[in-house]
Formats: sequence, C-alpha cells, structure tokens
Amino acid sequence: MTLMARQDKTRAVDRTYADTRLGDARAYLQQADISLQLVDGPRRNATVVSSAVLAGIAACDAACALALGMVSAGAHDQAVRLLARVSGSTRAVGDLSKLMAIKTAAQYTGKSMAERQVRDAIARALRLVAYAESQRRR
Amino acid sequence: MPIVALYPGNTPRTIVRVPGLLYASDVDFSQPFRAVTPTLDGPVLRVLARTTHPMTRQQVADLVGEASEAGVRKVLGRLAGQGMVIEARIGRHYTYVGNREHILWPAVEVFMSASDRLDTAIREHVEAWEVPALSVELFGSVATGTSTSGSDIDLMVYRPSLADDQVGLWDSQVAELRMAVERWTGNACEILEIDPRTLVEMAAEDEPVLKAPRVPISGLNIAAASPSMEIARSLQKAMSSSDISRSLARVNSQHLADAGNSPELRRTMEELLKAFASPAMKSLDRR
Repeated sequence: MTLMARQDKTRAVDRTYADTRLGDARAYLQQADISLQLVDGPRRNATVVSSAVLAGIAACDAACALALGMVSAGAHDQAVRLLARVSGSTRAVGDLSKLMAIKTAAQYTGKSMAERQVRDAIARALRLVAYAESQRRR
Repeated sequence: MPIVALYPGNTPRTIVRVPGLLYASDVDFSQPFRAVTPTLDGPVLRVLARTTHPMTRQQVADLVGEASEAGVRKVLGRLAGQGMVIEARIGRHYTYVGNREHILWPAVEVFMSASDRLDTAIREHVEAWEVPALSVELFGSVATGTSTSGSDIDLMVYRPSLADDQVGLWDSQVAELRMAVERWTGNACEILEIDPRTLVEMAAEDEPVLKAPRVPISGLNIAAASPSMEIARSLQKAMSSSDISRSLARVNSQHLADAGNSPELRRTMEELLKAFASPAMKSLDRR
C-alpha cells in the first residue's frame, strides 16, 4: 500500500462530482479517438496522448470520489497516492503513474510521441475508465 | 402485487410476492447487502470494503450518505467488537478499516462483487447460445450503479440477421435468458432486442438509449457498431428504395467500405446486406 504523505492535500466531493468526472473521462477518450482519426501532422500523437492522460486523471478522480469521498487537490504524485487507497487499485495506480510520467512530454515540451506511446496511453486510459466505472457499480 | 410475466414460446409464468410468506426480496445492485440484511451494517461494510485506508466515523457516514453519524458509530462499534473492523485511536479521533484477515471477510467481498457475478453469469449464458448474439450489453440503473431494490435488469441484445429456421430457437434463447436473470437476482429483467435494421433506425432518430452508459457483457461494442446519424439516414433511405440491396451496397461503397477503423460498424453493414439479400428478409419484416 502506498502511504499518503501528511502534507497531501485532498478535497471532499460527492457522488455528483464523481459522475461529472466520469463523464469528463469518457469525453477525453472520445477526444483522443477523434484526434487519432482526424488530426494530421507531426503533433497528432502528442494530442492523442494528452487527451488520454486527461481521461486517466478524470477517471482517477471519479474512482477516488466514489470510494473515498475525496479527490486530490495537490500535485499529480499526490493523486497517485490517493488512488492507492482504493481497494483493488494496484493496476490502476500503475496505469495512472505511467500516464503522469508522460504528461509533461506530451503537453508542454513539444517532443514527438511514437505510435507505441500512443497505443500504450490509450490502453491505460481505457483501463482506468473501466476501473472507475467498476467502482461506480460496487 | 402479483407480477405476471409472459414469455413467447414458453408457458406463462406467474410470480406472486406475498410479504412474509414468499421468498427473497429483489437484489439492490447498488446495495447488495440488502438482499440479506436491511440494516446499516451492509452500507458501512460496503464503504470499508472500497478502501484499504483507515477512515474516520464522519468519513464513513458521509459515504454511506443516508445515515446519522450516531447510527454509523453504533454499527462500527458492533463490527469492531466482532473483529470485522479494526478500530484505532489517532489523537482525538477514531479510525476504522475493514479487517481483511477476518475469516468472514471473503463474504463481504462476495457481496461487493455482486455486479461482476451477474455480468459473468449473463456472459456464460449467452456465450453458450446455439445462435450467437452479436452483442449483449447491460444498461439502465444497474449499469450506472444507481439501482434500487425494485429496479429492472435492463439488457440490450443485438441479434444478427436470422435465417427462417433460426427464429424459433433465437426467441427461446432470449426468453430463457430473461428467466435465468430473474432466477439469479429476483429482479425483473427487461430485454431490448435490436437487429441491424433497428440499430440503423435508432441511430437515425438519435435515440437516447444508444448514448446511455452501458456495460459490455459479450460480443462487439454496440456504440462502435452504430452508424453516425448522417450515415444511418442514408441507410434508412436506401432501405425504403425499390431495390434495397443495390441501394445499400451503394451506401456501403460510398461511406462504409473503408470503415477499417471500425470492424463493428462493418459487421452491422454486412448483417444488413445479408438481411436484405436473403429469403430471411421476409421473416424479419414480420418481426
């Protein structure tokens, strides 16, 4: 179990917030899919990865809101630690960590992304959304 | 109140519910513990089963959502006394965490996995069908985790184009599925059966049910198999023309032949062409 650091910031939220973030996650996945099919040029892959990362973050918020009644209000590593509090989240924590690790490169550095990274980011985002949806039914 | 369920091709079945005389209540899939206990213990255990981290009484009460803190305190005290919950004092606060080493904890996990068990039971049932479905998905309140004990189990079954001699068998498979789900859960099961033509019509009308959240159980993804509204309208027009097969083939070559990104949509188109090219079209028209 990943331990929460004492200074980790959280914010109390309700189920409506969880539903909103789950909706966001699905919309970002859709955006990734649209970018994949319609965007041309060298920045396509970074755009797709970026949307997948946002989908993963939104799914993490939804899962935490449903299981813990709170979301992270701090840096991204804090969000990963909070997700680790949710039962059965081992794989989801791994997926979120990987997406966080690629976030800056995709969104701010102008680095190009390989097709393999695109496939990987989408697969991880899809798994995170499925995990959040499963929390909703638990 | 008696519920009379009529199943095509099967003996009419009457389910009578008489409180105190007859069997179990329906399963509330958002609160599965209620199938065996109506007390607050179930919701409290549910909250604790969702996290491995200690929670305060107030946090548990907030997540239970429908109980006073005093009620939650009483339940937590009792569960701690029975060893199901580990109580710890941190400063002025008490925290609680589910005791996963308790020999009865696996029973809690069974309740928590009620939805998964239902999905698996449905999947195993439909994947043994002699005439396979293109897809089976769960929708409605059970799919979104907002069900109550009176909620129906809503299933969307996407069926392929059927040959004349398959229609009877298909109907009995669907009826058996409905009865099986009711036996497994105690809840009424509603099945929305669609075929490629209905799917096109629903997509053309922008039916809300196609956009509603669904849980895939078996087969292809119905959302991916649905044409866009624009293509659906072209297909609809083709289906009302005098030479349906040729018109469909034209739409296919104009819009869908290169639908390499969506094998599901290509499958819908293949089934549609098959329906209108075969003698089974007549039986489909009757349905």
